[in-house]
Amino acid sequence: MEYRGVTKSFGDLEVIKGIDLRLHAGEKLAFIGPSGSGKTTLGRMLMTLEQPTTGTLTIDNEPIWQMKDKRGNWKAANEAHLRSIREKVGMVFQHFNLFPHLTVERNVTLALTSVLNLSKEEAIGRAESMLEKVGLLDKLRNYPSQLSGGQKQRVAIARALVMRPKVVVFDEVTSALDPELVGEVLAVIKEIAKEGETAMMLITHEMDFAREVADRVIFGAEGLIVEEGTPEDIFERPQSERLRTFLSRL
Amino acid sequence: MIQVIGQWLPYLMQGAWVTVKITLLSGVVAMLFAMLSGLGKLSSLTPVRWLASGYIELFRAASLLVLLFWVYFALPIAGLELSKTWSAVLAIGLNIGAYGGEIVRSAIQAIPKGQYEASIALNLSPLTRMRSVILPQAIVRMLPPMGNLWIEMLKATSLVYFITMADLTYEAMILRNNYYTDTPIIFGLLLLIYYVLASCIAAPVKWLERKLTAWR
Repeated sequence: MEYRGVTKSFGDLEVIKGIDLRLHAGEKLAFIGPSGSGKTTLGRMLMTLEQPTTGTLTIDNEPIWQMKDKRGNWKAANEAHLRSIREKVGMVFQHFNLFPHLTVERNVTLALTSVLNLSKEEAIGRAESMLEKVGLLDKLRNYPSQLSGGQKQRVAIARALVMRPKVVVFDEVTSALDPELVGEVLAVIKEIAKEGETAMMLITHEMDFAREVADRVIFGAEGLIVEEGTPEDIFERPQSERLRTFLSRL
Repeated sequence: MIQVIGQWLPYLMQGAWVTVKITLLSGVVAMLFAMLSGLGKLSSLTPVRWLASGYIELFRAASLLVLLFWVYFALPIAGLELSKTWSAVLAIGLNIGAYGGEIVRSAIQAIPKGQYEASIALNLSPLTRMRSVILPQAIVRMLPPMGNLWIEMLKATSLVYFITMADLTYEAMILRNNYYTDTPIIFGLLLLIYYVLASCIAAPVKWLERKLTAWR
C-alpha cells in the first residue's frame, strides 16, 4: 500500500498537505500526533471513505481512485473498482458502528454471506472462531445494546477481521471507551498483531500500545509527516522539537 | 333507546365496512407511493429525485376533496372512468402517499452516517446496505408517524361522502334525516365507531413497534 503526494482539503481547509508513505504486507504501522493532524483522514482515504484531493493511493500497485478503461486510458474509479479495492481493506471505527438491529453473530456474518457468498454454516463457523479469538463466543445471540463499550469494539474488530483483509485501519478505537475498558480492546489487537498476517494502520493516542505493537511509528502534525522510525527511534530518540514537545505533554 | 340503536347498527356497520375497505386499499396505495417517493428523493439520479419531489410537493399540497372531485368528475372527461371505490382509493392514496414520502425520506436520513461507513468498510453492495442495514432501522423510525398517518387517512375517508359513497359518515347523515331529534346520539355513535376503528390501527402499530425494537 502506498500514498504518493497525497493531499486532502475540505473546502478551504487543507488537512493533508502532502504525504508519501509505504506500508508493506503484514506491517504494523502506528500513527501518532495531536488532534487535527490528519491521521484519521489518512485512514479514511485508504478505506475509500474520502477521496484525496491530489496525489495517488495504491494497493498492490493498483490505484484506488483511478482505473483503466478498455483502451487503457486512466479514468475515475467506478463503484465496481472501489468494491474490488474494499475486499483488501477493513476498518474499525472509533464509535464501533455496529449494526444495532442485528445480533453479534449476524453483525459478523452479514458480509460473509452477502459479499463473500459463503454458506450460512461456513459463515457461522468463521464468525465463531473469530469471536472466540476476541473472547465473545458467549455473546453470539446478544444485541449490541446489551454489550459494554469494550465488548462492542471487540465485536467490531471481529467483524472487520473475519473478512480477512490485507490491511485494517484502526481509527482511534479506544478513544470512545471508558478508561477501564481500554485494556481489553488493546489486548485483543495485540493478540491479532502477533499472528502477523494482516497489515495494520493503528491511528492511536495510546503511546505504550503503539510502542509495543508497531513495527514502525509515524508522528504527524498539521497534515505532514514530521518524523518516522522504529518505536525506539520515536520514543527514545525523538529528533524534532515538535515530537519532543508532543511526547513531554503526555 | 337500545332498540332504536339496534335498528341503526346494521346501516352503520354497512357504512363502516365501506370506510374500512377504502382505508385499507388507500393505505396500500399510499404506502407504495410513500416508499417509492421517499426512496426516490434520496436517489443519486437527478431525474428520479425531481420526479419524487414533484410528486410529493404536488400531492401534499392538493386539497384531498378537490383531488377526489378531480379523479371522480374530471378524469372521466379525459377518458379514464374509475368506479367510486377506485376513484376514492386513488385520490386518498396519492394524497396520503405524499405525506408518507417525507416520513420515509426523513427516517432514512436519520440513520447515522456511521452505519453507511461501516457498510462500505464491509464492502456491502448498495442494495444489501439498504435492505439489511438502513431500511430495517429506518422502518422502526417510520412506524409512529406512519401510524398517525393511517389514522389521519381513516378519518379523511369521510370525504368520500361527497362523491356519494355510502361510507360510515354517509350512513349517519341518512339516519339523521330520519331521526332528526336523535342527532346527538347518532353523531355520538359515529364518533365512537371512528374511535374504535382508529384503535384497531393503533394497536397493531404499537405491537409491531415493540416487536421490531427488541434490539434496543
